Amino acid sequence: MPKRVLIADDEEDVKDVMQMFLEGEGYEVETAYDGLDALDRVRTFQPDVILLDIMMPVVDGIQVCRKLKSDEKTKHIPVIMVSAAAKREKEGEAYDAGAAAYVLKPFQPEELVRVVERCLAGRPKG
Amino acid sequence: MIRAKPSEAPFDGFRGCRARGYPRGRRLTALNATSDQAFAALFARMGTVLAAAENLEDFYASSVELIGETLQVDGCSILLLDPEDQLLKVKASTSIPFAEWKTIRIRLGEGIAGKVAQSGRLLWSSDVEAIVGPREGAARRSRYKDPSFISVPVRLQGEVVGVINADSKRDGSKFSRFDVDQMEALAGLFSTVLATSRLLEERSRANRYFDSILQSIPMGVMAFNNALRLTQCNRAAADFLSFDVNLIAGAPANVVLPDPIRHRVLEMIVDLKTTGVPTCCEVEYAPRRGGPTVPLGLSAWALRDRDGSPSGVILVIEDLTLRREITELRQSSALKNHFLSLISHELRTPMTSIKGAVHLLMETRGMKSPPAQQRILDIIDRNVMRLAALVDDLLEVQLIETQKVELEREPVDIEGLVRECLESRRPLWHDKQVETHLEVRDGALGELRLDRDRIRHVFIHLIDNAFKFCSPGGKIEIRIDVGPKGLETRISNTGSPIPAKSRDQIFQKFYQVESTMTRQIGGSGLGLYLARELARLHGGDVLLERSDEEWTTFLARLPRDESQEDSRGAGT
Repeated sequence: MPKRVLIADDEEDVKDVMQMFLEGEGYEVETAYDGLDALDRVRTFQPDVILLDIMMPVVDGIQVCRKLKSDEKTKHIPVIMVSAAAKREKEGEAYDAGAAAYVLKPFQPEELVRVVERCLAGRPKG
Repeated sequence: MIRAKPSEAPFDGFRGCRARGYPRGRRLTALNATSDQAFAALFARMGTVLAAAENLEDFYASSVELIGETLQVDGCSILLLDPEDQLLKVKASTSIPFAEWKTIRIRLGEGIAGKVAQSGRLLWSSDVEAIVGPREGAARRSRYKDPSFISVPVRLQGEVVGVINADSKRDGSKFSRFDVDQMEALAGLFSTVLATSRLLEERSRANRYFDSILQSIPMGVMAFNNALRLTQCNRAAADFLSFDVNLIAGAPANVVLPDPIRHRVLEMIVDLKTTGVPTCCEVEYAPRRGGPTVPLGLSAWALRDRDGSPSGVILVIEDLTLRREITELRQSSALKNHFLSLISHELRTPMTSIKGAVHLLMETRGMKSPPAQQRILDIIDRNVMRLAALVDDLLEVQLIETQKVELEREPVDIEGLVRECLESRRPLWHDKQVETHLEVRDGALGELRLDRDRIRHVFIHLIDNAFKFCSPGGKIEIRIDVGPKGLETRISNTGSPIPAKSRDQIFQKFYQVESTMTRQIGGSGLGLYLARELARLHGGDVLLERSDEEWTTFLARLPRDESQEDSRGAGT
């Protein structure tokens, strides 16, 4: 049974290309267009890993991550922050919120896949 | 200074009053009525002379003249002991030429004055040689009609600080005991006044020092008493508020303070007096009528006595120009950092889509279905255009800031242009499923002569802004109308209102409303700034007309008449 990945990003094109190559790698992918939508879909879709953009409307990625990590039902799901915000600005905040990894946009698609695989194996840092 | 030690001064010419059986306490009573009156007159004259003296030098000069006149002598000199080198130096003399004063340096124990200063006892003798020896005696005889003299010590708080000499009666007679008593009395009076004068001099020096501090403070300082009359102020205050610092001591606050500042200060003083808390405010004031204004910070503070009771008010006036410039520089620096962070985000996002799309095409090597391939190519195309648009926006900002925009006017059909902009932007936001509606109130709008490309940007930025902040599944309505000031296009979207505190700032460049509601939506923070500036270059404007729970409406106004063109645009 394929592993499930939830992608939350308000940038339509970014979300589309990520979905396409993760599906190409054999994952089952669902997308959310903002933070609130992401929280809803975590409940219905029950992903194995979540890719969160940070700067999203309504509820930003950091807040979504905090909410997921404070909920018994979702705290075990690894969260990967995928953001165009410079690492020095947001990385610390992301890890403090409980993120397992931080991927800076633009990224090598293979690199994203490697991070997803490591998180699923429980070794986010490699 | 030396202590008077009588036992160390066994001069044979010693003629102290006490030694002659006239205890000090009884001396005056021993004098006859005429003497008493003479003394009283002398004291009165001395008092007048001293009151008239402006400084110690004047006081010394007046004293020797007065003593000389009183005793009717050829010469009267005051010599004071210099605490630095313990030498007696001439401070005033009616007989020694001024040029010689500096050459006279008398050691303690030397000559008549030195002996008096060392012993602390007066010398009075006509038998000069017996005291000073034949040489000095001969010198005195050649200088004066009579060589006799009186030399009395000057004491301050029991210490000898100098000597007063009276030489040779004018009529050639010998000094009488009455002369000696007068001389002693005068020396006593001189000492008393000298002590007071030195105290005053010290106080006046301290006052001058504090005044120099007050005058050097780069802030205006004004002190008012409880009756609100000016008691003290410095030059900076006079400069800031343009009044003559010398003319107004004692003037009431409402006379001294210039018109626009007066009532603010009086309000502040009332506040201070009722609450006891220092108050402050900022005013724009032109020190010269019609001249440039200066931002001034005013603050009122309670002035208190030593015992803490309120004795008035201190007003401090500060020029805020420099402080404002520093704040502006800091803000501009913060804005620049913010801009770099926004721009890097704006560059990275389309690059992510392009990189991902290229990767997909390379991985599949054309194995994807033609529609899938087309979708990927569309992503690349859109995002390359987005990057190009960002670069265009940045260049446009530079042109606007350096006032190098040249409008290329041509007839433009506004309805057609707005429709084209709406249609071109809608696909980019199809995800949000926004319902759009375009309405033209007046069918006969005609054509306006505008810079087509720049006006397109005005509408694209406003339409993008509407999509960006529109609630998902919400509505965008565009209405074109003819208003009193030209063509009015209203672009409205549903969604959360713009926070009240941000409404003044949304047209600043690089500004983005700081809230989770909006920041994540992205954007360079240039859209509204450019929309407004480009409209203004055409003589129009962009305004936020409404923002509530229902609608947020931006109004773009474009004049029908080219002559209203903004002076900043070098229109062609």
